[in-house]
Amino acid sequence: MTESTLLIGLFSVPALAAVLEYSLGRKLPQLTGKIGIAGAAATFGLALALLRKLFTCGGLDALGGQLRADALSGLVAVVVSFVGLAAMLFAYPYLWHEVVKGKFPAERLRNYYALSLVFISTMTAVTVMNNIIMMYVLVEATTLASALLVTFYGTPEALEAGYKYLLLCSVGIALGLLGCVVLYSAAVPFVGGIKAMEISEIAKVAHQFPPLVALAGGMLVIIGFGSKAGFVPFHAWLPDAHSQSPSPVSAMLSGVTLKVAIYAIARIATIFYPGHSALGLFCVILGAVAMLFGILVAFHQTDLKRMLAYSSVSQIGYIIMGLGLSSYLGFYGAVYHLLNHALDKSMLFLCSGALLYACGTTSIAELGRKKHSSLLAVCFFIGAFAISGVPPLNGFWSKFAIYTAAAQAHLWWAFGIALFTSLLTVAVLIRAGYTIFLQEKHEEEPVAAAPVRAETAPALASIGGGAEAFAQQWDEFLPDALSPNREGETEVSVSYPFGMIAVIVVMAGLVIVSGLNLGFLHHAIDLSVQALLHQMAGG
Amino acid sequence: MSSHLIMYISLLMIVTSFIAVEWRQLTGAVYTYQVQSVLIALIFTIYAHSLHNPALYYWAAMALLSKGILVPWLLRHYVVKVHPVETEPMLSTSLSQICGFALVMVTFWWVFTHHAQLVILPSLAGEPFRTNLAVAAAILVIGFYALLTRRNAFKVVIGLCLVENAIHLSLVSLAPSIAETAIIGVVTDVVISVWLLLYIVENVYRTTGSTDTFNLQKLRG
Repeated sequence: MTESTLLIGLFSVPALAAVLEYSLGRKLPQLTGKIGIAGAAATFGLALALLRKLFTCGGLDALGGQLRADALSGLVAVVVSFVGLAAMLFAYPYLWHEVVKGKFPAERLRNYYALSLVFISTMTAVTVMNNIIMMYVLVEATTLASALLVTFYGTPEALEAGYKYLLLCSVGIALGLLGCVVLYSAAVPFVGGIKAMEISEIAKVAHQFPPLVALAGGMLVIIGFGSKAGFVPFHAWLPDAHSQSPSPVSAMLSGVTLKVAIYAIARIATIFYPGHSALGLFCVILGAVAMLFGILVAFHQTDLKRMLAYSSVSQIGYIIMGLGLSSYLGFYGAVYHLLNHALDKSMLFLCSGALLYACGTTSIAELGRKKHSSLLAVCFFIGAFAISGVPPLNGFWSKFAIYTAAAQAHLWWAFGIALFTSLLTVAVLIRAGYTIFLQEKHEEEPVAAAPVRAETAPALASIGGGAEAFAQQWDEFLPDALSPNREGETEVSVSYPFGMIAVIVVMAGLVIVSGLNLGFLHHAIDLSVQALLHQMAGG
Repeated sequence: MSSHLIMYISLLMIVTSFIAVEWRQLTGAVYTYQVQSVLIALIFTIYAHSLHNPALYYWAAMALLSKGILVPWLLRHYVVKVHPVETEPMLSTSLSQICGFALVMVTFWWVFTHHAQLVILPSLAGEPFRTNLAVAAAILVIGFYALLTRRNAFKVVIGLCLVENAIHLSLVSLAPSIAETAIIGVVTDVVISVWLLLYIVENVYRTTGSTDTFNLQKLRG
């Protein structure tokens, strides 16, 4: 495969799959979802191939420099497509269950999968885009693609969340456009015309920009794209959108959409760090405010998904602080934490989806009164410990790098806030985990979610015969052959479809593996950091 | 000649954005917005002629198609379908007019007098870029003012449209040599985001029976 097909395929494959999904979905309902999963899997494969290729050669170009990938693009593309694939696999049994419960008609499933694929396509496109204006266009496109996913259930709350999401992100990103245009026009006299839109060209001439222009452009880019990443004054959309959208969408929003916005900031704003240390400090301050504010508000949340969303606000603070420190170690921590948060938080959101599936609620107090699968509990605690930075899990290493970088930069207040936030995060997440999984259950009766199989069959038969056989393979996962009504059961009272639990367990496994300081992972992050530093030094 | 024309059209653009925010009858506000968008297309044509930049003709066509036709059509379609009268805004009419007017005057005056410091390239100094940037800044401020003070969801969307218009207008004095593909991308984004917002607002009206954004406060904390 040539280099340019790899770069173009990365976003055109999911886009093509979206078209297929939508157009075939009406005639062949048994294919609904399978095309989506296949498309997401193909994207993941392409992203892996891209990253592997980038290990050997420094960077790839396509379409005359409009598309460009280095190790950082490859790494983010792998993360995006992996979480996309996990969300798709999880959504398949999850959404069927909701169709069966009558939450929405089965015809709308294809809309969901098609939109998810478009969403993945726009996000992977951001990672390889080298055109500064198109970068804005694509980041805004991720908002547009996901807006209807946020409002998918059509409840007043979901519509409210979608309205806020679309409005705040559109207005915020408009400032980002202004920043991009300012930077582009500043580059025109040095590079000229069309070339001045390429980020790699801007990086080469950035040191010649008038200081005020570089500073204003950089600030606007940070604030504009930051509104999409949930930086604190602009975070209002985030908890609403995360809590109201279907759980696989929350996983994608929190896991990767925020990271894509951060990626755009890392690509554009870091160019101006060398001449303008104020920009770096601005990022560190934003990060410190976000991490402390996010976790303090998370303390008060009674809803699991809202709590996780506020914790995301706080964790994004670590990434932006690492970026702002602008040393090797700071960037290393930021890139590593970006990866860890994508993995941990999307797994936690999928856990909350599984809980919602079984108990029909995401309220922490109500969940605490019910019994849950112990496997799910183990996965939840792995994720919670990891993201709180408890050694030896992955979150610890990335946060440790950021602490050390802050100490090296003699920013002791930043170091203190980061450490304090980390302790609070342990308290918040473990308290929630304890309430939900470990607290003594007062309710005697076994729980909710009757086995779906009996109801599923007729519903499926009415839609398409082919789906029936497939769905039954994915149907019930009974670890110890338990059924809800058997007497004397204490542990597992709800059986989850195999697909859902498998996705969560695999992700939990990856959380553990990514904390083991593997040579491969270190190499990938090291190359990404080198790419950032290289760009900062003028390309 | 053209400098006078630019002056008058600029003044008209500020007036139209002011009316679009203040006019309580939503269909009227949408028409005013449409007039402003057509004026933007017109002023692009004049700039293209006086600055000898043929790319701006293309911009004029894009602005006319997207903001002069598509977006107002969408707005009118949904406004008529849903509810054509604005919810009482947060400020009383006269107070709001005074506030809006003061904001516009201050912004315009500040950008107009500080243009020399704001200029990025020497080739973009002086007139007509000074007026252009000052007008764009004034419209931007009115747009944000509408976003912050209006309760009606349609008025908020019109505010967003004004912000987008202002940024589009400012491109003349910030980046006159920008590529067409980028403009197409930006304009497509704007049209789709307005469309999706209106679609969501319509659904909000269906489920809650109102377009008052103050009712959208179920999610808190």
